[in-house]
Amino acid sequence: MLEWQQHKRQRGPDITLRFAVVLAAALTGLAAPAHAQSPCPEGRTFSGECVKPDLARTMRKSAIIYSLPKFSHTAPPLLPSEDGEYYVPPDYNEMHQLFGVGAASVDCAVVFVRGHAVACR
Amino acid sequence: MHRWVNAPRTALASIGLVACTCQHVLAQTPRWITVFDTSARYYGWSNSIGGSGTQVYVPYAVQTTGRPNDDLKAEFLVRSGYIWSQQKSNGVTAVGQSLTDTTLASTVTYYGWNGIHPFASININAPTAKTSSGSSSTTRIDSDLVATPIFGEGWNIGPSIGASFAIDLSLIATLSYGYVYRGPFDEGPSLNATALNTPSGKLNPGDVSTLDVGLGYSGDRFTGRISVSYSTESRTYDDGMPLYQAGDRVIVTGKGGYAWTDNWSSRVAGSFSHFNHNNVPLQGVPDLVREALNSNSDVYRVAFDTTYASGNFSIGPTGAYLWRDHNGYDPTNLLFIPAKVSWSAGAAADIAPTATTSISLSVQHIWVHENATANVVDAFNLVIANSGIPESSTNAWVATVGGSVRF
Repeated sequence: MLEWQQHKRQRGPDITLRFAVVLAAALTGLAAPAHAQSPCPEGRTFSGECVKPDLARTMRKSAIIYSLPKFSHTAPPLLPSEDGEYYVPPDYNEMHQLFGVGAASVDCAVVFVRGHAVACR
Repeated sequence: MHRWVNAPRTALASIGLVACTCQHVLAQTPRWITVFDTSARYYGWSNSIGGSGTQVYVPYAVQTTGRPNDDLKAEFLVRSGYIWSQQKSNGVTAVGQSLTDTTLASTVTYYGWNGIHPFASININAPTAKTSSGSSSTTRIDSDLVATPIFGEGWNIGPSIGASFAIDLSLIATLSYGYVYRGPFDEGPSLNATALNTPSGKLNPGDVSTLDVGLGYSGDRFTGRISVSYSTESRTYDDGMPLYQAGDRVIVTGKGGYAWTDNWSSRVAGSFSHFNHNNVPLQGVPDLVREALNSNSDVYRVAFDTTYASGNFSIGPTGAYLWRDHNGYDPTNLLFIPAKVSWSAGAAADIAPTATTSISLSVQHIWVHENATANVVDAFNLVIANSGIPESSTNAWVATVGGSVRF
């Protein structure tokens, strides 16, 4: 093993620990507790200003909806008036394969036996 | 403070921009707010190859939002709905109606730190739809025409965790991870049946893991957000047999709005969806294999609207464009899914009769053009007559009336 590799190996955990401590300290410092301040509707920025509430609500909802792209085809976790605001493209292939969506627009649907097309009806 | 409570309504409000009066809002707003929200949506369509259909969809939801203390926000939502669908094709009419599934959702956000606001959400889809009613595939309308083409599915359990990073009061980044467990359900007739009129089997759709990053900005006149998500999916089983495994998926969505004046504003929203190749069964091979050609097509969608807002009233034109870039292929049913172009144009209006109520109206006409596909060639290289899909054009109307009440 080369000397620099030995050096790196010996110092690895120490560096990792230092990095973790620095990161934790940085996060702690940046994300200072907001207890002493008057509350804001959607929390505060790193510098202590109130976040624009509509922006914060929209971004949080967007983060939740787009992290659950196939959750509930019929009742997404939104108010009905919000449906158009958070459009998730449907998986058309799955809609077709699992649910037969759009089948009526087809003149003929193939009947098959475990992967083998045998008839058209 | 909810956007629709801000009467008189302004152009800024219509694109999601409201002047920040944050220091005083929390003290003035009740700690708990409940909203009842509903709409009734009518879809009617007919195509050039003799098909037609109608759907009435009535979703309704109750949401309660509150602050148990200064550091926590809790949101609870219950949503369900009712669907009636009718579709005609080749002289055959299929009709179905049912309650939809019901979703129970809860999100908790922590505000105790400046700049970093973690949240956790749990979402449960309860299978309250009457799947035995209207389970024929002929009552399931194209998912590009209607927002809710099916009545229901199995249990879904979807936890999501993440955090918002408030870089400054106008710029927020988000990072979130979600997992959706999708429970088994009866597939209904005509799907993967070994013969006509056989009892339905059990479909067990794949679970989905998704990582999402987002960035949003809200300035004096401009507001915008973008989101990029990456999903992986486990296998889908049919009666215990592996049916397929969807490829990894990328969805990019973005939205921007600009307030031209105090009364006029415009918005544009775009989305892009791409799947990698699926893994599919191959005769003689025990495991799923990566398909040679990608059976998923890429989908692009752009929607735009312009709004005139004055007092408690707003109105404006809307439009959308959707493009499915090439014929996808359904390897299970040996069917091609046609490439498609869809346009829509219409108008939408909102009115807030009182400080706690709002009513919305919209109407749209949709034009769809689907490409033709060739006849299917079976596993023995025999062409199945009339199995191709002819070129078709579809005309559809969508009308919606909605209302919200805050308690």
